[in-house]
Amino acid sequence: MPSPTPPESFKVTDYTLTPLTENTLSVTFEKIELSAELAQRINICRDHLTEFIGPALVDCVPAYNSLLVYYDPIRLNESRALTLTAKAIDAAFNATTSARPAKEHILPVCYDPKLGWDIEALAAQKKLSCDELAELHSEISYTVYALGFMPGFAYLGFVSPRLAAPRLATPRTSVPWGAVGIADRQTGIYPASSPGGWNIIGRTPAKLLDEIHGSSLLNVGDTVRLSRITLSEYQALTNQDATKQGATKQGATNQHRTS
Amino acid sequence: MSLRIEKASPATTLQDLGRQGAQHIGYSQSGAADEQAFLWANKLLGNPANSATLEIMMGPFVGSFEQSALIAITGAARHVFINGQRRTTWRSLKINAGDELRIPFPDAGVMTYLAVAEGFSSARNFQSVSTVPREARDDEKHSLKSGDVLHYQATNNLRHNTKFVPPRYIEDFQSDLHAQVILNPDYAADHDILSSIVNQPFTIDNDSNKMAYRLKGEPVNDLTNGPFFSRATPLGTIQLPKDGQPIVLLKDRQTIGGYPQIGFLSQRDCFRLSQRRPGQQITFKVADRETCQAELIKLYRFFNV
Repeated sequence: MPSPTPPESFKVTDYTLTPLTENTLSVTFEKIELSAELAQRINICRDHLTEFIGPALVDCVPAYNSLLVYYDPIRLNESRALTLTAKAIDAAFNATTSARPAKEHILPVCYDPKLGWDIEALAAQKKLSCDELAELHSEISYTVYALGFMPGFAYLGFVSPRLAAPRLATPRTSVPWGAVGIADRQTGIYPASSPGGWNIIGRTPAKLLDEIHGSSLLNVGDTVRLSRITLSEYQALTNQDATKQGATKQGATNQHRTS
Repeated sequence: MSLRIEKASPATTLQDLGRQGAQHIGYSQSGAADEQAFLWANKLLGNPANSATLEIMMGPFVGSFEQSALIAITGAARHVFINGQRRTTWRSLKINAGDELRIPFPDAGVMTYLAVAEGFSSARNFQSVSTVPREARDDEKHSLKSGDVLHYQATNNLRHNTKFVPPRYIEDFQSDLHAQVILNPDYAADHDILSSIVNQPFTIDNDSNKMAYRLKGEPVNDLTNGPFFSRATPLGTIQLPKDGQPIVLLKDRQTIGGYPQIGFLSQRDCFRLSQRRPGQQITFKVADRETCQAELIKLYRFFNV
């Protein structure tokens, strides 16, 4: 198999564009290596598509090395949708267009075992101290490769191979909002409490989802750095005793409950 | 003008044709599970196709109308009771002030649609009234319940000529489903998968709902090796997990997924599938995308979507 091309030497043969269902087109960048730059260009492609197709574009969902275009088949025929998508890809990957600077986020994360429910077990398994694990996890600049599973849940890649761990055999029925997890070589943050099978190593007080306006803090192509905070800093930021029950709603003050 | 809910099944929500521009950040597209029944309910009343209707999963449902109204009921329920008097569905109905409507648990099918002239009023997110219970916050209600009030516009024209849906459009939800599948081009040449999918009936498993229907049958063997990058999942995606038991993704599905996508149920058959219950059977036949697309466009043109 030919070695993957970096995005800057992109060729039109490096992707496939094909109609998939009655109202979707699938784009896959198989031959291009996964990177922050690829994610950013896919996102630029999405911006161009929104402009070229207009209201007939129902959704445009990027994920890792792919993009799915949902279009309105009454207002736009498949052939025209294909043409406009090819045009958007060309514009996004044109060598003279530089990828726009990624939006970089810095999110505070507390790795205290009281919040990182799986950090001690994972550290022991990896023959690391919790502190070393936290360092290895927070020293990387992550790229947002996809959003999904629940609103505002970003899949960040990639953790150090030393930290890679499969999902829990039995998912938890409830993981608190802000929980930071590892699954394989991805890391992610739960924007709201949810069932979850990721290895929970910490928690962030950052609000990832604005439910009122329906917007996500993180978008595909953004980069995320994690900045370590202590348990008392976490508590000060969330204004509650997080070790009791864990935080529930987005940043809302929680009256003490009996556990 | 209001409809006060006295009793509602656990999954009773307002729906239209679903959200736009929200899947890229993880919000499910949602919308009415059985679009054909939904669209008929609105057409019977001369409503714009995308008007908000009540989607009632199973039932029973009891509500009282504070003022007169023109309504239409389609989907699973084949009869309802207005003030205790039995009336058939798939037609428009005149409601007088104070009338009580009771929609019983249906004999077959899953989703019943209750439309009102000009649609129910509701807040919109992403250009839609649709709600997805699992996306609701802890402090939000997950679906409509007893005591809730839905609002609609006053009906000026109280003269009402009943409109009926011709019986040939009313599907028997007890029948087995023969569904069209558009193959994923990546798997089109995989004859093992193809023959496993089309040569056996599958049974709908218990853990099936508006997110996805789980099918049980002889395991479908997939020789490709994972793990795969997650990718977006269109309506009707047939996923193949390691146990070889296909999963069909429906209206409230998650937006991306990491299992192989071997094919896609035609959208019209997604609507039909959502009216089948666990224990019923489905068989697949391969269809080409152009045919399915032409059928969907024809359906949408008929209903002025």
